[in-house]
Amino acid sequence: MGGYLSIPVLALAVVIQATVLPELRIAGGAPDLLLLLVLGYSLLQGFERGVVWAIVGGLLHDLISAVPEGVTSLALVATIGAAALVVGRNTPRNLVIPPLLAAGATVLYHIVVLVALLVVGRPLPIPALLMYVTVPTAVYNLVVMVPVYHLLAVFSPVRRPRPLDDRQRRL
Amino acid sequence: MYRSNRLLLFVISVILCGILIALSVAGLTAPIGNLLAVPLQWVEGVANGLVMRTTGLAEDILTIQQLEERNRSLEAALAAYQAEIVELREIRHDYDRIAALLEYTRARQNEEYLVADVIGRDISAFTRVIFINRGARDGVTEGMPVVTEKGLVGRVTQVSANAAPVLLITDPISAVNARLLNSRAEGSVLGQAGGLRMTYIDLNATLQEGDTAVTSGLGGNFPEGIIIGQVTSIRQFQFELFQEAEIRSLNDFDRLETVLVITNFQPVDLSVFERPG
Repeated sequence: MGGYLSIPVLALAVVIQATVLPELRIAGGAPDLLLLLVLGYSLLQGFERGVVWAIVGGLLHDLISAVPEGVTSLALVATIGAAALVVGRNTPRNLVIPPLLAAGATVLYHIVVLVALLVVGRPLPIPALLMYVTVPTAVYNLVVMVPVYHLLAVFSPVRRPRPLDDRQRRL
Repeated sequence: MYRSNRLLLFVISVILCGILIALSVAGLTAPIGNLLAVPLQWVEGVANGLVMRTTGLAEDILTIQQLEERNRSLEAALAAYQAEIVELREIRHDYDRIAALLEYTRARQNEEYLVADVIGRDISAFTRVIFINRGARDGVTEGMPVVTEKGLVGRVTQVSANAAPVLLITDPISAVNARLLNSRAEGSVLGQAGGLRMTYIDLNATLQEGDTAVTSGLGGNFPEGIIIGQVTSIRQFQFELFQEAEIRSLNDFDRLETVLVITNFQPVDLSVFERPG
């Protein structure tokens, strides 16, 4: 599930995030599907492929949001970069690390977005937002990451190098 | 080598994003952004409509369930209140009856009364008898008059320990000596099916419809001055020795619920003066 197929998948995720997920909002927090998809995909397919999803997904997100284009992409790139630094690539069977990473990534992602908005001249009450929005979102993401990562592992299997046959070994 | 490539990719991505942000803040990405946003926003609008409809439907279902629950609750409350209203109406009805009886007893302070509830009626079609829940234990004796605030009811004919039959004045064998208040004519009020008839009225007496018949006290069976009813019609025939008048009691004898027994009246037994044979 890479290449051009990523665009409709991410677009669908952005639309769902803009329409369905706000209905599930609890205490200012709602699942961040785009973040979870990009992070999960990055964990399964590696940082290089994840960066594409991060930039494309972030752009699609910003197209229908009020933040300047590129802010979400930057936050997603920073987040999966940090995740790659901490974990590297994760196996599809390991369902413990992704949720924990999702919770931590949520905090980093929100901090980057808030700082980026601050830099571009849109100051927001960062401590209050971190408490009211980020913490419940992190808890939400921790829970929702389990099925998201599982689905990603099913539909986007990890590509491993094919083992060399005898002739190739001889060469 | 691999790590340095990733770092380079990361740095390039961040720089790209930074440039994009800068262009966006400067407003240079607006034309392209707006163009790209059109299909996405259209899909978002459609999806949002669906979500709103679904959410609205879910809320409607929830509202219906809440309304049904509320309806059930209100129906239960209504049933409880209706039962309470019935009970209160009964209490008010009892209160009205007892208040009227009390008013009646205040007006006739020379008599002593015992309140009794009607507990039964004679099932025979030919007699007019009620049963009250007072008997010998309450001091009730045979012959005691029974009244309501609307007038004479009858008299006790037998007494058991805690109940007594009362022969109504409408019973065919009942006869009450009476007097008409305006004409002062006297006679005897006899029970008959469906009402009362006053007989043995002097032919010379001038009767008027609406005149009130009260007990005369003659014969010693009833105290004097208890209202029996009102004259509704008069019958006078030349060939008869007496006039007759139809009397209508204010009591509804089929719906008596509470009555008063006059306990300080002792009927006079005149049978001792009757000549043998």
